[in-house]
Amino acid sequence: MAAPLHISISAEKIFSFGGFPVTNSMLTSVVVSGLLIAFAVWVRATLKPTNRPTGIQNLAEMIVEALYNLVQGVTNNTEKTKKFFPLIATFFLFILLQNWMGLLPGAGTIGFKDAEGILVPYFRAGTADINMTLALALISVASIQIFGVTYLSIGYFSKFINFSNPLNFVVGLLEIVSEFSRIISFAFRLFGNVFAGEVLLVVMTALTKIIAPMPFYGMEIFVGFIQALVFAMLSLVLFNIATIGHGEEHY
Amino acid sequence: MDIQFPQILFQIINFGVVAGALTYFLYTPVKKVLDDRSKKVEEGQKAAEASIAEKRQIDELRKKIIKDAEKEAAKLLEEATQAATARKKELMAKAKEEATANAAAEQQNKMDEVAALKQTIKSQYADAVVAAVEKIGMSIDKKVQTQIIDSELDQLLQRIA
Repeated sequence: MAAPLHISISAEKIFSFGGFPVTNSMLTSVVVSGLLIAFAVWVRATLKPTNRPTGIQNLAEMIVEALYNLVQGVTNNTEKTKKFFPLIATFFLFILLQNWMGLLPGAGTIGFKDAEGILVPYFRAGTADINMTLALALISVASIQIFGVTYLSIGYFSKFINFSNPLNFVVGLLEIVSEFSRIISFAFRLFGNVFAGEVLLVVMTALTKIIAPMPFYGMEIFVGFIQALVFAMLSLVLFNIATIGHGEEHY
Repeated sequence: MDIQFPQILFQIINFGVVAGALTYFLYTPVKKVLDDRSKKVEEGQKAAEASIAEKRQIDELRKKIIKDAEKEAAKLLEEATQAATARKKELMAKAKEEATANAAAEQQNKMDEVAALKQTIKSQYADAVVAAVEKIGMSIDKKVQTQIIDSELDQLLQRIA
């Protein structure tokens, strides 16, 4: 008889490091970070000022150029693009790899059994952990405020605190609420999509074992890409809006 | 859901480290390579455009030179034709003149020869007539005889001519 399905909405603790609990999503995060940094170092070490790039340099150039053009297409301002690009590109690559790591064979299936006999996998997609998505959402929303203040100085806060008339004051309060709601929407959109995808795959695999889950794997690869793009694009648009003064917005 | 602030902090630091490393090792150097290449391509494009413009100018200059040369050639040809025509006319006129002069001289020669011949014939004829008259024993005035003979010969030559 097949083992009963166990789905945990939270990341599971694998071990403790100096009293600090290390979860499987944190381990995946560290692995993804290591892979990204190793890739970057490899690219840096083999980078040549050639007109005909090959291999890893070709791939790196393609990724950097595509993401840079994406950012430039939204900002239409080279100065802003240079400031936003590193963060947006890292959001995209980091989230994309986190999403896809959860689809690799072994993720969610190789682990150890805890005291209750429940499998605790060593790897779980980082974005299938609310702590990770909250962290990303906090970085994004904090960056929005930082960019807003950088470009508009103290005037940026006039959209939150405005005593010019009662209506503007109420709108300012709503803006404050909307900033906080962004954290929740960023975090839960990404977490919900990735976690739901993992649950779907677990259920389909438990039901049919082979062949039938494959289309869902394909779909999850696509969803992983789309969610990374959505997070990066939303952050980019909000960065850009934050840098445009009151009454200057162009939608 | 188990929200743990230490884990959130860990993930923020982790992301920060990745962002910093990617910016230092990936984005900045790759972007620099891309910018340098774009610059090079742009310079190459500008040079190519300048070369095309230069070639166009040279082509235009070449066409102008050819056109000018054609004009010059046509002008020279026209002048040469005119000079040749004038020279031809001049030579023709000269030749005609020479021919006329030659013909006149020739005619004069012929007339001189005819006159000389006529004189010879007259003289011989008169001598023959005088000799014939003397032979038959008659005498004749040579002067009168010569006049008669001249008159007769003139009539005869006119008939011949």
